[in-house]
Amino acid sequence: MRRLLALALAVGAMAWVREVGVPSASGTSVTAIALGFALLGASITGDALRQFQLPRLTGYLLFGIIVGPHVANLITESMAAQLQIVTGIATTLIAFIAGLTLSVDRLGSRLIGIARMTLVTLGVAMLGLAATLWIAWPWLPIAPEASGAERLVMMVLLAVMVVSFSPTMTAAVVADSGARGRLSDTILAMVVLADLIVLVLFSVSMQVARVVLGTGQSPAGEAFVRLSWEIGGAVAFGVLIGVLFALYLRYIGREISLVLLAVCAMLTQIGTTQQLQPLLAALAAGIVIENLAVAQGDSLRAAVRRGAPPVLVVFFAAVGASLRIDALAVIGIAALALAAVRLGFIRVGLRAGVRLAGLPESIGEHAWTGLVSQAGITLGFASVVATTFPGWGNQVQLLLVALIAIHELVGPAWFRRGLAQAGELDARAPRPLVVVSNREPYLHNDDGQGSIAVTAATGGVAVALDALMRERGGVWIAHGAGSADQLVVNAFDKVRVPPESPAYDLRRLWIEEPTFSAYYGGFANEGLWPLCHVVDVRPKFRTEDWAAYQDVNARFAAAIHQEIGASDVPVFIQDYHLALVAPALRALRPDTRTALFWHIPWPNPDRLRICPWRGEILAGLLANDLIAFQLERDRRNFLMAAEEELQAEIEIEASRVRLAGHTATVVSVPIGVDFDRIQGFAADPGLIEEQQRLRTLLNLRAEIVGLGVDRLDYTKGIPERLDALDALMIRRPELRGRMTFVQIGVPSRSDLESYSAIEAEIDLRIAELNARHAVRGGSPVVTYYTTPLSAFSLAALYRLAHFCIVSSLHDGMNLVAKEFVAARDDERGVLVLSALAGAAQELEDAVIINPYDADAFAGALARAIDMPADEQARRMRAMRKVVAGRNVFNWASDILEGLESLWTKPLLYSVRGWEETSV
Amino acid sequence: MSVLPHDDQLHLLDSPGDTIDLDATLAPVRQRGGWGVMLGWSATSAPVALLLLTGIALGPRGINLMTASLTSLLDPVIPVALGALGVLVGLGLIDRRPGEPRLLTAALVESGLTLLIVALGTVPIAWTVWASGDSSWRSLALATGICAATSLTLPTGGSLDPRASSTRIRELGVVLPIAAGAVLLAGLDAGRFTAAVVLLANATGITILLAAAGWLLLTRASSETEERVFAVSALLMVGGVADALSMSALFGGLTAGMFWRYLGHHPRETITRDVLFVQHPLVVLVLLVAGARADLSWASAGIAVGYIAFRLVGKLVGGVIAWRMGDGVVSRDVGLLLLPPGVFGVAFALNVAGSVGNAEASLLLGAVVIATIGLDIVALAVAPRRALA
Repeated sequence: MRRLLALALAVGAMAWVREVGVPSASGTSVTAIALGFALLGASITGDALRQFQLPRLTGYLLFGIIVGPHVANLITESMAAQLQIVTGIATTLIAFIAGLTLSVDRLGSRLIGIARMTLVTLGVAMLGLAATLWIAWPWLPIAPEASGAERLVMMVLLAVMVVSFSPTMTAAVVADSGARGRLSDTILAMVVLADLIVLVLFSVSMQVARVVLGTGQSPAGEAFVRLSWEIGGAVAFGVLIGVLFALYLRYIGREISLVLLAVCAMLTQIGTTQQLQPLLAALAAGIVIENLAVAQGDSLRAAVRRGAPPVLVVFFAAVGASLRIDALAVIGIAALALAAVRLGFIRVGLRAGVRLAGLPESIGEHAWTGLVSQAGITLGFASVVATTFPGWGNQVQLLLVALIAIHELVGPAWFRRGLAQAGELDARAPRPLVVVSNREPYLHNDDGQGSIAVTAATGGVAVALDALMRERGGVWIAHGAGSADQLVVNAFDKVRVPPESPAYDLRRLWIEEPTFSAYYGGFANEGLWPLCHVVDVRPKFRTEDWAAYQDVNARFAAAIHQEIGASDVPVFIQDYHLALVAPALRALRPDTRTALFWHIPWPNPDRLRICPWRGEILAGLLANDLIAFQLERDRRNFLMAAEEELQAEIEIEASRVRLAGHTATVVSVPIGVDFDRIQGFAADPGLIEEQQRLRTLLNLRAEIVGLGVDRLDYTKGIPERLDALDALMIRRPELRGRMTFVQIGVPSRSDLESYSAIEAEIDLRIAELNARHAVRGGSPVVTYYTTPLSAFSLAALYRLAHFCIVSSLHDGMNLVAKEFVAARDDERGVLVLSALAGAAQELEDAVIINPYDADAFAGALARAIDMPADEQARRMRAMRKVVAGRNVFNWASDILEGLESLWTKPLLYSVRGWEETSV
Repeated sequence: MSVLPHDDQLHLLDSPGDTIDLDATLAPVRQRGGWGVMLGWSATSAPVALLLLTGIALGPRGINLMTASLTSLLDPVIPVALGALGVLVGLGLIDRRPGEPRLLTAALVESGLTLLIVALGTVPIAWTVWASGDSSWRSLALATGICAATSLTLPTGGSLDPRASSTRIRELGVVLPIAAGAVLLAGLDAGRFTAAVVLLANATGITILLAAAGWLLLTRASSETEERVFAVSALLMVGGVADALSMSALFGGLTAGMFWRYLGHHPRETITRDVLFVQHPLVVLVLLVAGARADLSWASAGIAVGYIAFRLVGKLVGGVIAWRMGDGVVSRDVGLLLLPPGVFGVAFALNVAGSVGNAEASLLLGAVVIATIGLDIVALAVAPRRALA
């Protein structure tokens, strides 16, 4: 409603301007207002049409048509002419972005197939059209009197122009509809390749036409030189601009969006004045940057995302405003017939091309829908012909404008329908996913009374991935660890989950002993875990553990291979247990897309050298397409290790590592918590009751309650926390009996020596501490509880506590810190957080401590206890902003979007910018 | 440690209890060394003379790279750039810091006095060089005074940034010239006073309508990209209205900026972010185009000489009065600090040249360009170093 009101105000302002002064204004004085009005109105109309499931760009075009000179005349003839300034820059920008799409590396082996299909389609369509035009020439309203060579060149030129496509329209529909899949990928690559070929053919045909029709009075030799200049010069100029731009990106890299637009303006201007094909030059510049200056590509794509949307919205609106609906009446029947013939031959050509290129038949079935649209490039051709050959050129322009009007109105809608029929629209076809983790999201256990109980994993990551899988469907592959797991699976070791509303398959992998212990307890938890955490526990690396780790990872890879079959679903691999899955999978399916999230810290290169198989681990991780860490520090450590250990090629700016012909992108994506769910717990009316229950359960009588929630692990700094509490009680004896610290400690990996040792130590230390500071009738200093609590009970405890301690000695992130903050919508409570936990990098308003400095730690606890309410509220408010802004669902989708965007064509960036919320 | 001298008092936050780590706040400014400092390029200043000279060198009087046809292609961009500069001023205009009313008064008096001195001072020169016999020399003299009254290049980005009182006076000092410029341009376009008032009221009404549309959209934008699209369209329309009606784009921008400043935090932040993103390219564009278009004749040089001399007098006298009126808030050497001419004078001259497009306007632009280069050189020698940062 606000948008419509804003549009009404803008329309009112335009009418007012025209009333006051525009009729007397000179040509260029209305350009800015026309641009602004077109941008604003088209954006709003596009958005409004989206509510009716129509592509936004249809809205842009419609807005242009409605307010344009041929309908409402709010954008007058002179304004519409001024808008054409943008058209030149926009078409060059489109060609430039199209060039950025053609990554030889990314398209890989598919490029040859797509090129073959494109050539055949173009060949058949052009030949067919030429033949039809030859026959139908006398009835076409162009130059019926032309004959012989003249008629031939006119006909060839027309055939080339009529066949041309629209990369922007195609990309815009793909982005608009959120389509993903082989069809959309193939069509995008195809239209760009086709345009490259059409551009060259157009230049050649124009030169031939100039010679034959005597426009330039140039002999054949001179024409050849001009043609070489036009094509060769354009390519050379484009390459030069591409190299210069790459250098600018590398050494200056400021205000790239503006420089990009300036470069496009320059390419347009110089291309036009120097008789170079500006579109070809722009295409060449884009290809150079994409394929030769790979490191700079990402920053350029970001700039495209930032700078291109306004230009392209105006472009579409300008195309709409220039479309002469009245032209259809004049030349309509010929245009309609030509559109039908064009479409027919494109379909025939595609069918032949698909067969010849060996691509799936399904592509041939729907691909034609993506080749209907025509826009900027065709318009550009039309205006060149009209300028060069006044007379019949103007007739050609009229015909092409009518054709574009037809194609623009039906093309996007048809393509969207084609994508839907091919099952590539997100609304109709979920994009399945394969998740691989050691731990399963649902365990089936024998409850001891003859029935089977299902337990859902409650960890934040498991919940987030489960939600993602519910939405997208697919398969989750994990180790079957439940006592009744084998009883519920089918012949393929699968069970549909979640039990209440099955949405995806859980495929269980059976790993027998002693292999499981060697893989999980041995290599993963006695080797990698202490290797990656800077604590006083030595990693243990045993050959048999390594062999088991390799074996289990290979089994996971084989399971993935079985599950994905011929599809191209992305694979999400979870954590350090599965570092070798990607290379094993790649050996089976080289084109699989995998992302791995490494939840724990990544050690610095010196510490990594402890691991005898560090090279294999690194190479294994680099076989993924995307590797995500929690923190920047981990990402940097990983890049350094890849360079030092493997001499891999590092692109620092793009954060990419190239090893053995494969490129992996390394990112840091800090994990979050399910903020809304925890908030929901905190607001639950049953919370008070639960708090009462917990008070009774834990015998909580103290007026001040502290809280620590940890898995019993030597990295969590629990003994250090107890030392600090001891120091606090010595320093502030009045707190004895008045304050209780609740330590929830859930035992894990207790069969490992280092873990059983820390459990024993904590037991002993708590007993000593309580004895030392006991007050008759008062509360104990520490209440220790080792049974896991439900998420709701934890939320109740978080809300009960005056402060919460996270004192990790080294931690990838630590979600307890974020959960505590998420639960405190009362803006009370103090988080005492170790500087060595990853969360400290985000939660700067916590009371930050060094767990190794017991005195300062105790001082921080005293400060937390004494902290005034307004300071608590201020700090908590700031931290809640951070935690709410990065919830676990964003985390998961960020990684998947990151993985999928590696394949997303850069052309999409330009149109996806304003689709962020809908794609 | 402060990088600012003791007598140039800081104009900080509203509560005396608030503390700002100035060393940290100003660190980026201090770290910007080398060429940036040598060229006088910072967040709020630009190498004005250098860019104008570059414009002249690239223009038709130089190597003719910026041809007349190329600069005409940039015609639609100039009012948008000027509008954006006006928006920045408007966004930073209303401030609730202590001492602000005194600073505003001091700035109005200082700029008003400079305007008057330069306008009156150039009357004889304008009358002499403008031999056409009509009354255009009066408009020319007034426009010269308006251009000379400003000292601003770019306002500070954040409204809560710590800034010296001279910086604030420089920012507030453009308001009166922009308003006077709007009246002058309306008068030139409409011919009669009442018609000028009606035209100005129309232009202001349309601008407010557009600003309201922008506000409605920006408060409900669903993504940063959408915000950018709406902000860009609002700026294009605000600049475009001024261009279409041959009015002052600076005044249009100022009006819209003040509107957004009043109506909430979010649109203000969005617009500021997007204008700040393009502010340096816009300044470069304005200066290069002004240089390339400057009509360098003896007549313009004659006016420029008067412009320089009377502006020096105006700024020094105005500075002294502003210091006295400032009552301890304004530093004693504020006049010297305001000597560098900044960009707004050139921007207004360009605005006049674009809107009026006659020989007087070309003469004005040439004079202002020459005088700005001259004043920049004078300021290098005379003004305190901090005035150039």
